[in-house]
Amino acid sequence: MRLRPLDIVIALAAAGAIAFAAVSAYGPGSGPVNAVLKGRGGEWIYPLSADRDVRVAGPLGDTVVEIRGKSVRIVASPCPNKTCIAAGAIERPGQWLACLPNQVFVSIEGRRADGGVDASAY
Amino acid sequence: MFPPWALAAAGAAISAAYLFQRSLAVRALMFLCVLAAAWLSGKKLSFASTIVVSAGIVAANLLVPVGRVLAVLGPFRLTESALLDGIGKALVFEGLVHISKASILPSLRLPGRFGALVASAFVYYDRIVEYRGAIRPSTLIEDADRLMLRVWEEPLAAPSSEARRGGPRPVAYATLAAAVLAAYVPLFIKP
Amino acid sequence: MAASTHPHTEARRRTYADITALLGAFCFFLSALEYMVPKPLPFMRLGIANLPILLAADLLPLPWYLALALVKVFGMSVISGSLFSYVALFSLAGTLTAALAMRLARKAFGRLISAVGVSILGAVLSNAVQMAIARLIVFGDAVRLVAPPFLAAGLATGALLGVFAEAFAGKSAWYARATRELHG
Repeated sequence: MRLRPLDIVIALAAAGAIAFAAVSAYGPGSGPVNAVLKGRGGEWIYPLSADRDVRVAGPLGDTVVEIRGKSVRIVASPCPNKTCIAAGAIERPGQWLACLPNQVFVSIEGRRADGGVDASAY
Repeated sequence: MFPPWALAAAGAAISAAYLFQRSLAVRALMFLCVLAAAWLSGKKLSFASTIVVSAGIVAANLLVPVGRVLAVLGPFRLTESALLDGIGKALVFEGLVHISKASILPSLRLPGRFGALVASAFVYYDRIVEYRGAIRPSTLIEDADRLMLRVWEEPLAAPSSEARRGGPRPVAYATLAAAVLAAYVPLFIKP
Repeated sequence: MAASTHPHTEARRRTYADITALLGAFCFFLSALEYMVPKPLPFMRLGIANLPILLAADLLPLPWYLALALVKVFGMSVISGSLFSYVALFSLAGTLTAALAMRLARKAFGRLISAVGVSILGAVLSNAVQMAIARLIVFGDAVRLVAPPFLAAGLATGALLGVFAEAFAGKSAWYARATRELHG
């Protein structure tokens, strides 16, 4: 049987789309970027892609961590100086925030688009 | 015992209640009841398939960690919300499969021209299944063609409706109504 | 609107109905065959049951062609007892996507495309739509990891089915007769 011109075009287009899907699924920069929260009660992981507020319990009370617009910041904490709140938002793998009096640590993990690995080592 | 249309209608109603149920514990309980109903209906159940599909859904959801870390296995972290999400989705998926198995009889027919079309297709399907000619990979096209011609050329008698042996008893309808009610009651009970 | 009672029209409608029912029955048969092939995820379809729909793209007018797709979905849902489950939803979405894509390609591109290209387009788009639904209801973001091999399988089976359909339409006495009775 003879193939027609558009048979080849469609087969190549489909193969190209599949290759693109494979690169975005398995290639560098393909994994999710997550916020990792550590407190007295354990460890929590949340993807930056979904907005949410998380309460992390510590010896002084609850520290409230806000994940919004693919960045993370501490919005409330029972510590006296509130330096963790003043530190602002983080959004790139390897960055971190901490409320030392309340023993809460927040970091971002994941692969950067350039293939670099995050440097978190808590 | 149950008229096909009534059983299917009950299955549709119970499917909706099952989908609307938010409590994982209640849904798990409903799933067990649905499994029992599917088993009692006499349909062939594959527990292996149920387990494999459910495990696949849970595993896929665990691949994206969300929530409290419950366990760490090498680079893989098992998280609470992802686990509960996966279990919930697996329960929904397999629950709907088994509600369908319990409530869809092979004799179910739709009314109207579409129903008649489907009924004719079933008649042709029976003929295909009964075909005794050989179908060999080396002569696949010729053999398939012979099969199609043979199945098509037999005159298509009007699909016979099942002989009515007296109407279904009221207890059948009452049983179905009770099952539907039981599925909806948990939706209205606040914990 | 009163239905036409012209004998020629009535006879042709009966033949459309016969061919739709016959092809629907072959969809059931091929679905049953496909069910026996072990797959990594049991509810994912290979698409060989769409072969009769591919053959019907040139045989049946659009309303009967769509009826065939719905006969396939409904009939298989009844046979497998999956009418109210997500399996039927996957089947409906996949079958309708494939049917519409194949029909559109056939009518739009004429001689520039054969059953191979039509089948590949239908299979890959059908699998893509099923992946999108799987993302929403069962797999979430993890579907990205399953999508490439699943789409690749669609490309492969689509190509093979297209080659078979092209050869079958060329050699089949049934297909020639059906074409004559409907269009001749």
